[in-house]
Amino acid sequence: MGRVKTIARRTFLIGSAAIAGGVAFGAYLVARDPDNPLTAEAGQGDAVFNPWVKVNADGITLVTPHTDLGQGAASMQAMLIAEELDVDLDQVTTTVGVPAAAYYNTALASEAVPFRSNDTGFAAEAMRDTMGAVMKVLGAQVTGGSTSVPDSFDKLRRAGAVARETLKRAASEETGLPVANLRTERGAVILPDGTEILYTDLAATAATLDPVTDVTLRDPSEWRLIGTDQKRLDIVAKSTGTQTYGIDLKVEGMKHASVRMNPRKGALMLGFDAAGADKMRGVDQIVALPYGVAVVADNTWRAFQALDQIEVDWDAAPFPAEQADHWAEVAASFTDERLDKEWRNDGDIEGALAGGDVVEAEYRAPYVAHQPLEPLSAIALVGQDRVDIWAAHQLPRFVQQRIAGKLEMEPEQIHLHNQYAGGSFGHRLEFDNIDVAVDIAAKLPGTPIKLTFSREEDFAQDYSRQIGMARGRGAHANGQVTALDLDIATVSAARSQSKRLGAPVPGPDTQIPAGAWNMRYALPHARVRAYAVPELAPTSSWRSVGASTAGFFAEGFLDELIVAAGADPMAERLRLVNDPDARAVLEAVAEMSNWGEALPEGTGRGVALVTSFGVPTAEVVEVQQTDAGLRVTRAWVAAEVGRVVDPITFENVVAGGVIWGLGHAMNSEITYSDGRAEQGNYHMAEGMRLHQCPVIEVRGLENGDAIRGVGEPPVPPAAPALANAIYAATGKRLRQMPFFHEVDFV
Amino acid sequence: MRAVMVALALVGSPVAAQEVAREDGLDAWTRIYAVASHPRCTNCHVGESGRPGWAGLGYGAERLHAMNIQAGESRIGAETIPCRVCHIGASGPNSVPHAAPQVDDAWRLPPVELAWRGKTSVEVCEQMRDPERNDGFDVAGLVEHVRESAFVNWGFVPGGGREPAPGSAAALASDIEAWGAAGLPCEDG
Repeated sequence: MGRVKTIARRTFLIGSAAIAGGVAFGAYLVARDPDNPLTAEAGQGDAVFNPWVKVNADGITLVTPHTDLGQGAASMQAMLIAEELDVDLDQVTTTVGVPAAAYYNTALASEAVPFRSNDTGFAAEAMRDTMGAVMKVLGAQVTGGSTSVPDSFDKLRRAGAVARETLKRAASEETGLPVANLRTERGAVILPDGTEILYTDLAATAATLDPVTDVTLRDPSEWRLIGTDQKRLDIVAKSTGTQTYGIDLKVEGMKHASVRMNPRKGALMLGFDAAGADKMRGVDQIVALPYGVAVVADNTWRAFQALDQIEVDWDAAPFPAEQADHWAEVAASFTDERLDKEWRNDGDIEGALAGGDVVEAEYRAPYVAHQPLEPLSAIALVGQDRVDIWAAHQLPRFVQQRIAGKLEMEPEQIHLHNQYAGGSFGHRLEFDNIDVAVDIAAKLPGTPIKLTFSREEDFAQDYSRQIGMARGRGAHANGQVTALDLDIATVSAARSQSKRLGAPVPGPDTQIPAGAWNMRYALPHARVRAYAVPELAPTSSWRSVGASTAGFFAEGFLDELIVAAGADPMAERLRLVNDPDARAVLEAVAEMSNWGEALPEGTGRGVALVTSFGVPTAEVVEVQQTDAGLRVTRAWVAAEVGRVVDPITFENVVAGGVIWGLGHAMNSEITYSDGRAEQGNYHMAEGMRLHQCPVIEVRGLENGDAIRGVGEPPVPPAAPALANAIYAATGKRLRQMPFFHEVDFV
Repeated sequence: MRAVMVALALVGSPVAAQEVAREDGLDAWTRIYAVASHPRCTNCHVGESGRPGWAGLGYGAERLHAMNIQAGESRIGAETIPCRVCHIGASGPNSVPHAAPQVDDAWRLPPVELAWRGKTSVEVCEQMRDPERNDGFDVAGLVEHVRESAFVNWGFVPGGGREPAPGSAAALASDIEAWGAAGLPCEDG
């Protein structure tokens, strides 16, 4: 293959998105496409059309670089490629691929800009483009922010189309028939006489061609896979308990480690007394680290047991030791000095408050752990010239850069083998497991070290959701809500997280008021101000991030105003709603739940509408009073996502988000005492139990222009809808999570 | 002090001695009831609902056993998921707070007629002295049960930071002896 072709094949065309950020970064840097990572590994006869598709004589491989955290990302990505490639999912193998700049997330910028998602004005679009350029130049390969679908939707279909057209070109070269006379079906090019030539048989020829990039994506009317119920690629493995997660991996010759880090997160270790732990059965080494102590043993259980025997002297927490002091700091943050930004100020709020019946209330949201079912783990093998890491992570390229910096190596020398995750909810955006595994492995060069956190250690070291509080004032007149003034003070999870990433985010934190300032209601007088509480305990992105707290504050307090006005919660929201997509989801849940029908005594329903990650999501939750406590009986959810890729996965992800949101609102918090999280396992932060789960009905609406992700948007409305339902059933207004402190759940 | 009072009473009339013995028995019963009414015991003495409770470390106010556990007609757990699925029937260190406790006995709920959760002191007292409603025990049997039962003994040392029943199995046994010696008195009967 000539040099020209080599160069052509090393790069690829991302798409036709206009990039406005060229000025800031230099047009070359932005216009230049990253290298195709598949090229480096391609052998003779491997056709690698772009970073997502490889075909050779052995088979068809689709690369699905968005980490599968249980949300079905691998299947979704494969579906999009397969749609245009004309293969069925049973004909392909998927692999997560290597960390690469080529896999930068093109959709991530949207939520980071301070514009409403339905704002398509010049400034909003220009800033999104600029942020998009930043992501590209950084090569920000990120799974998060409900962006896997929007990032993939055009890009991966295009990847499939490019491969398909190139395979047709190869068939044309082999047969002499014009491309226009060829079609494709189920992994083969079909000649006019019906003869099939398998893609795998065309790979060798295709490998010599420049990829055909002038492709047109198919009209939705021609789709075979998108929009249909597909069997997820992992469904059999998950249903039979054979799915291999990061924590299940074995590497030849590995040793097992566990760690005890300072439970006062971020503080160091002063000293320790191994007290004979090094003599315990199976124990290989006790490893002192600046922040804690690790045990290397012949199995994980013995490492756990040995750690239990070690007495450690821990340094003090770099934040208030007692929970009451955390709340006091939040309460003291409604000041001009801590005003992060006034996000909305419509009408004349002070005048409206003076002229109506005023309602005031204070809301609270606690720290909450991510607590995925699979605790943190990682395998690390540190060699002379290369480091291998096996772990599930949402930021693979950042892992490379971080560990390269730590070991004074080049990022290319760090090989992350990204794994399937048993849940994350934002937990795997952090690096503790990677750091610790590498720190231990660096002391035992050449030996693979499998680090497993105990559940307790996972809880102790987690970076919680932001703690926060809101003070609301509002007014109503003539049976209608006229004014809403919401002051929201939370610590900034974005700043806490980005500080640890070494890339502080400038400007106001969009997540403090997320879900509140962008309420899609035409309130004549509305103000939303965000206050940044100085960092207390470290925090991080927790599924749905800011909207999980601000959405609760906003929709809980709005409900109070509606009730005070004597209006119906659904009717008044429908009167106020000012956006067709948001109206449609509200109307959908009203219709699904038959809102307004007579309910038995002791039964109540609540509704909430929160827009997060560009997705207006409405939920109605029903609760019933019983002798033993409240039972959450039913929930109805509608979300506007532009396009539902796979209805089954969509329904599952949405229902899962509702369960997640309800369960944590009911039962979960992290509180600090003596500088340590008081909750150490699920018995103290249990979320929702199986028998507590309501019947959930889901509807995806497809009216919007943009396709959106739905991993996070179902979470924020769950808590306020539940609180509003409890009010309707009992007359008790819940203003702080978790609710179990004030009501009993069956 | 108690011994002195009893001694002084014995110096007086036989009637006075009986009165004091009854008082002494009622004192003993008060302590027995403090144990019997403790969540560590009432978690399982739950009657027809067949739904054990949870109280102790981390669970806050008393609440139902999670996972919607129901003992079923057999009282050994719903037949498809007996208690022993999680609760091992052998003694163990019970040092892990969130793990299912283990005792050297078969896990099950007490029979329905032994339910006393939510009952008053008098109701439980009358129940406990009635062999029809105390599993057929006489006083000696009750004492032996308390001394020997792995469940009763575990209740005082549940481990893992779980809240124990007040006192000890030995103190409970001697209180039952004293209550028995006083004629198994209940407060109003």
